[in-house]
Amino acid sequence: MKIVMVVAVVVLCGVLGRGLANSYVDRKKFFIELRVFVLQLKSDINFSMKKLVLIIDEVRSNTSSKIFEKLLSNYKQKYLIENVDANQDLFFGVDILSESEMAIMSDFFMNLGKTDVFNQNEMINNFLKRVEEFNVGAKTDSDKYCPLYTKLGILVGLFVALIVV
Amino acid sequence: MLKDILPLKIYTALTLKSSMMEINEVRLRVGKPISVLCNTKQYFLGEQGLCNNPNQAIFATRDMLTDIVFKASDFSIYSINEQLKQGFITVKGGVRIGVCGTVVKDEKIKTINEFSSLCIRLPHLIKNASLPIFNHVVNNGKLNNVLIIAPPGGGKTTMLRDIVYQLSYHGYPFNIFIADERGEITAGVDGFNLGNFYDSLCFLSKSESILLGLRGMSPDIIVTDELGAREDFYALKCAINSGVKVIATVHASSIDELKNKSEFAELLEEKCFDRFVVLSKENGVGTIEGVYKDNLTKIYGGSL
Repeated sequence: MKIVMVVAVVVLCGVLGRGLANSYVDRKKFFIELRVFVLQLKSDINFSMKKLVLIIDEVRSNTSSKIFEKLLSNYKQKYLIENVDANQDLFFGVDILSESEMAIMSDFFMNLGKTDVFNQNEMINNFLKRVEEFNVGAKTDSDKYCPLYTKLGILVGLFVALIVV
Repeated sequence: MLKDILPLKIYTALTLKSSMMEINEVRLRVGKPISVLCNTKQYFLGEQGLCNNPNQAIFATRDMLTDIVFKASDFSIYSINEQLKQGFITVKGGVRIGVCGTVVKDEKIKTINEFSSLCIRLPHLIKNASLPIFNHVVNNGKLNNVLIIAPPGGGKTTMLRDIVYQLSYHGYPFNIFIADERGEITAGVDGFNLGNFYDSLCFLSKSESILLGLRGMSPDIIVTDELGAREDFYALKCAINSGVKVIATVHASSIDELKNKSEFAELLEEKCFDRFVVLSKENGVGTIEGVYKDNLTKIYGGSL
């Protein structure tokens, strides 16, 4: 019975630790999906000249990041349908980004579609460089903190088990 | 449609004292008062509607112009680059927006940006507008090649649109092919209902469109707007020489002005057109100044 309890406490704390690291996993997923979106934009703007709404709908239906899907959904609803010019609406429900990341992304999304194909290309290329940096940062953080939080959880679990049992 | 592309403030002001049916065009110039052509009279657009005092008018800003083009392009200005290069964009409902700004050139025009002026022209379907001249288009079942001559904003496209409609309405089962380079005549796929016998090809140059229609759609009549380029005349002659009738329009104020257009010399000499219809804005848009025969003698309107 005691062994079962020890195992249960350790597993539970391990899972809790992993759970605490979830935001890092979400960030990693988010930036991977953002990169896919930007690449898709680049190709669609240059070749098929597809309308922004169509590109967004396509990416939204294929994305594996719920948070990124939320961001695109906010963008479509607020800027392309309601046409409201309120910056904070873009990040409603998206709470994994830092202030500086939000500022850069907001600047990008606010200018999306507003210029000709040449300026859009330039803008996308510049943004893509930043997204690559975000991607590397998010991947490093995720690789570093996920195992760390899980290990810490297991350690705490063992400690709790030691005291209780 | 205009509601979707204009800033709310401008749209509200436009509809306060006037109906959209009366408005012909809206002009926005950066830093200047917005002007409106309503029933052939020029007004300024104030917050309380149309007015004559420029000091009461709403002034256009660059952001305003960019926003209009942004919305008119379905939030994707990059996607309308081919149209922008030609200096206009056509939006749903056949609304044509003429654009001025900075041209980016690299041997050929790459694009226009930093918009400085917009001329928003509203299309109107005025039923029966062509009735006074309809018997010159088709007489006892015999079709004529017709050239409609009018200055800009003189009602050429409206007349053309109604001719297409009337042909169908009067039960003439002619297959009509519309070479609609700017998407203005038909206002696109979900645009005007111009009867049961027309096919339209939008956003392709007139010359290409006419030849394509000639090959693919075996039309009885080809309808096109605003002839101008040399290639248009070649395509037109191909159509006429193939036994297809042509109804077209051209920018000019009178027969004399038409004669001065060198590119028309050959068509006039060969009497390619059976009838010339001259329109003006004298007593409102679409005033029929006269109808002329192939030898340019007047047979209808004004003093004969």
